[in-house]
Amino acid sequence: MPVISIVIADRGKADRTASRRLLEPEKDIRVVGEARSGLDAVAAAESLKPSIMLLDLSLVDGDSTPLLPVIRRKSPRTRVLLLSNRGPDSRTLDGLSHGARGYLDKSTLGTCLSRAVRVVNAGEAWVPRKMVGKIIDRLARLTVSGTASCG
Amino acid sequence: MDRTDTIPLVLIASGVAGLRKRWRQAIQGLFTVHEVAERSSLERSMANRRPVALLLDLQLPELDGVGRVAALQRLRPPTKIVLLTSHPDEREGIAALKAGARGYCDREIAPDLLRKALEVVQKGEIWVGRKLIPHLLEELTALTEQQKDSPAELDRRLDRITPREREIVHLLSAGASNREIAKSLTVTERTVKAHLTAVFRKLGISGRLQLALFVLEHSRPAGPPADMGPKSS
Repeated sequence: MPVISIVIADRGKADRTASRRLLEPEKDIRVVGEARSGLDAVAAAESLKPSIMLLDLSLVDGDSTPLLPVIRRKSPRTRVLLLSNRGPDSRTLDGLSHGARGYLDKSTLGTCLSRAVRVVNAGEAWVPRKMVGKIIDRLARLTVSGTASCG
Repeated sequence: MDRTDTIPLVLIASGVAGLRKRWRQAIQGLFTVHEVAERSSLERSMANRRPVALLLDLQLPELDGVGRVAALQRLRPPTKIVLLTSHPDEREGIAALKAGARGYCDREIAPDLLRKALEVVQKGEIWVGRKLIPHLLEELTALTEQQKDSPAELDRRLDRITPREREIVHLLSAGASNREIAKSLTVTERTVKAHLTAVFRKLGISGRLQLALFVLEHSRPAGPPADMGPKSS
């Protein structure tokens, strides 16, 4: 069975440990690294090329989304699963717009983390149904503005 | 006034009698149902009967597929349109949702799922297969990236940076704090901050991390090594 390699990128040690503990018993999942800052996360993506990066949206002050295109260029196969303890908000949508493949609220890690990791690793998305409408709204808006600027 | 005021109306549109029957049976009791079998009566009913939802067979005669959805929606904007098709397809699904449909699924959908789909779209959410969502995200990411500046535009922006600002950028991306930068250039921290503010504005970025990432991107070994270099001299 191929192992799913994971990097946990979170500025909080307690939160990194919590995710690690949840994943450790899973035979098909291995935590291969941790990152405490945005630049750490980029470096870990480049050197470890994990299957999945768990990326806390509060990893950097202000806005973590600029990390996502960089992580993707450093390691195109790495799929990013966003974590947040603030519930889905505009940052989540920004993150998904910049290439993240899923979103998990930290309060649901205990029940969902390993499942979400497997789903995202299989090429599917892990987003709450409520967010799908927002994704489509933004997609429709971008399509309209894109067409307008081209024509 | 009449019972359609209390029991919401769902419009069912399909050229196939068997499908209309199956869908009607699935939602009977929860909704009143009005059936149409072709496009002109669909358009009339959409405008006049004020359905809360429309279950629309994409293979309805003369419908013209997904392209018609936006026009139908304009006839009655509050109606939630659920498209049902004989061959669900990712690209068509995305196009349908972008056109305003709130649901997209196989027209052979099981009765309990059809009820669930109506419940979901009534709540303002979207009913699509899980497999469609990664494709939505891919398209969203591609469109978002398209809106970003081209490399040529970034080069133009880099040109606007003064040699002093460039020095500060390099120190910052090496991990130096404002205080350390000030010390090594023998200026005040305030001057460093002023320079950084100018750099952020010129590059159109909003903070230290983005700046560091910007430098990382423009000096990665895989590309031409001197992206930031030659412009300064």
